[in-house]
Formats: sequence, structure tokens, C-alpha cells
Amino acid sequence: MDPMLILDLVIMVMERLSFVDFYRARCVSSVWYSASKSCRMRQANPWLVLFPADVLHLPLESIDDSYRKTRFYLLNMLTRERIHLPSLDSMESTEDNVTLLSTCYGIGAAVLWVDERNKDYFVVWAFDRSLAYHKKGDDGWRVFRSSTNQSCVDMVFIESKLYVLIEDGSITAFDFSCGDSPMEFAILGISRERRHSLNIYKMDPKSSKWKATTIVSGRMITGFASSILIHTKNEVQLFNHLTASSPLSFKDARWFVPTFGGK
Amino acid sequence: MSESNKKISLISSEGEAFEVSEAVAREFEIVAHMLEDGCSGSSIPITTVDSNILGKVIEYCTKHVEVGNVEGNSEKAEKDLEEFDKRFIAVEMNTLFSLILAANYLNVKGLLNIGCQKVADTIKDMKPEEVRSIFNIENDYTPAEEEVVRKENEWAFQP
Repeated sequence: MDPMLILDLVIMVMERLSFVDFYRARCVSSVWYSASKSCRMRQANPWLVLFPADVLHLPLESIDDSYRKTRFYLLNMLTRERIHLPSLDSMESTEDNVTLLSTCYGIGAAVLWVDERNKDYFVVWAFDRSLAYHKKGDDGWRVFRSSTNQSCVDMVFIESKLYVLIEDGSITAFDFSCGDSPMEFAILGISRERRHSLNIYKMDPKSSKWKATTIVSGRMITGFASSILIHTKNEVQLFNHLTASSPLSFKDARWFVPTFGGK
Repeated sequence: MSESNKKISLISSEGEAFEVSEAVAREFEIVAHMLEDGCSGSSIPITTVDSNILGKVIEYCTKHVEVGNVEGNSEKAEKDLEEFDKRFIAVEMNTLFSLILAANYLNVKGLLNIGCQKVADTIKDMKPEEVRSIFNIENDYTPAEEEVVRKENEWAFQP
């Protein structure tokens, strides 16, 4: 007799497991596996992912010497699931893009967003002063620019909006929810003094105005809910308590909010 | 006379009657619904729960109703209740399963929560084989299927 085999109760137990135990428990039986797909998980603790300073394994497969033919794909490092991306030569060929392609070894920043449920995804690369995006269902890459005509330093994508940190420390925002081309809708200037303090800005969705909620600076590493966290280049100091236990030196850090279960 | 002094008999699967106050009986949501639906009888049969487990569930509900009635000093009361829950749920596996099943059937949310949490805490760091053996679960994966699932979740087994 096995009283625990009631599916509802297995789901309730699995919802209370830690991230790792949850995935282990899927191996128990097919009933548990299907239960895992019905779990409604609480908001998990965000992870701070550190990228090692010496080696970074990029998921690139070059099929000939030309980067234009390089096969790009997204790799889920936990599940080994792959999503293939179009090659760079699928970019609309304009004069602008020719230059762009020739400088594309200088890919500065990239951002990825994947919807766990329906596997929709969105990728943006920054090449010098241009940006190129690709979303599920598109044929190739679409190129766009900021009206500020400045290079992108870093960016985050939250709720169909792309927030780009540019050279002079300002942040510009693009909305991808309205039709085909992104709409640049707000630019936030950060003054010199304020760049040295810690700020978290929140955008009021109604007025498209920025509101500082807490004090940080310099480089944006992540977006969290509808806030953007900005922090200084001396991130090691800022995150000392988090990185002290890491035996590796690292060159970059990024927040990652794990989600698990089906809903 | 306030309603909370009204007594209700809960009858276990063996036919044993447990007399409780209406406030305690209402902790069983299934009973609360029956009372709201105008079921005015003073004895309610709980045919799927035996005396041992029903007694324990009543003990749990009684404690929670008592603490809920105490005015003020809420922080200490909350801590006491936490301690009580911890001791209450520290039972052997079969009893724990029976308590969870009863809490699920009678719809006692608090007990269901601490029961499931206790099971989750027990599973922590266990191998699937160990989980199967304590839950008496048949491994219904074919070797090939198990290989696939293992591979998919392989990272979770790395130290």
C-alpha cells in the first residue's frame, strides 16, 4: 500500500523541495515526473553567476573559417537543450550592416530572454553602435540603433522592454511589444556624481518616467522584476560577501533567477 | 450561550466518538462546510480516518484554536505554536503519511502544510532509490526511460 501515491500530495511535497532536490525527485518515478510539471513554485532565490576571468566556453561551432557562417545556438546548460539561431549572414544587407559584420568580432554585450512555458525566446546583440535582435519565428537578425548614436555597454530585457546602458552612462529603453520594430521610448541620464552611488531605478509604466528607489552605480548587471539594478565597476567590493567563497577570479557577474516546475 | 461552546461529535472509522467544541470541528474545513450547508446534526462520521489519527488531528486543531483565542503576547504564542508543530509532526513515516492523508481529506490546511514540509525535509539529499523505498514507490521507468530522465537531471546529482 502506498498512501503517498496520490498525485496532489506528491505535487505538494515537491513544491516544498529545494531546487536541486526537486530535480532529483523527478527521477523517482513517472508519476513524480509528471507531478513536477504541475508544481507551482514560489519565487526562487536569485543566483549570482560568476564568469571566470580566464576561460569562457562559448557555444560556438564554426563550420568554416568565416564568422559569418558561424553557427550560433542557445544552450541550456542544465538540460543541454539547444535552440539554433540564424547565422549572421542572414542579416538584412544594408550598407550599415556590412560595416557591422566586419566589426562583429567586437560583440560587446548580449542578452537572452526565454519563456519557460511556451519556449518563446528573444536575443539581442550589441555591435558597436548598432544592436541586432532575433526572436522566435523571425528569419534572421534585425538591426536597430539608439537615437543617441552611442555604443551599448550592457543591457537587460524585462517584460518586452530592452534597457540599454550606453557609453555616457545614460540608459535608453526600447519597447518590443508594439509591432515589428522596437520603439525607443525613454532615455535616462545619470549625472556624474550620481554615477558613484548605488541606484535602483524603476520605471513607472504609465508615465514612462524613471524613479530612483535606492542608491548603487556604474554598470548595469541585471534586471529584476520591473527594477534595474546598476552597480559600479568595483563590483568585487560590492559583492565581497557573496564572492569571497569563490576560488576563481572572475571578470563578470550576472544575476539569474531560477524557475522550476511547469507553472 | 456562545456558539463556540456547542459540542460536536466526530466519529472515527471504528465508530469511536470524539466530542469537540464547534470551534475545533470548524478547523476541519470539510466539517465547516457541512455546518454551513445546514447540516445541524451534532455527530459527524469521518469514515476514512481511524481513531488514532483522528485523535491526533483533533489534538492539533485544539492547540491551534486555543492559541488563536489568546489575546496579546502574539510573538511568544507564535513561537510556542511553532514548537508544538515541530514536536507534533516528529512521528514515524507511516503515521506521517496517515496524518497528511487525513489532513488532505478533512482539509486542515495548517496540518497539511507542516506534513508535506516534513516529507520534503526528509527527502532532502536522498537518492531516488531511497525515496522509492521509504515511500514504497514502484520504479515504473524502463531502464531506457530512466537513463533519459537521469541524463536530463544529471547535474542535480553532481556533488
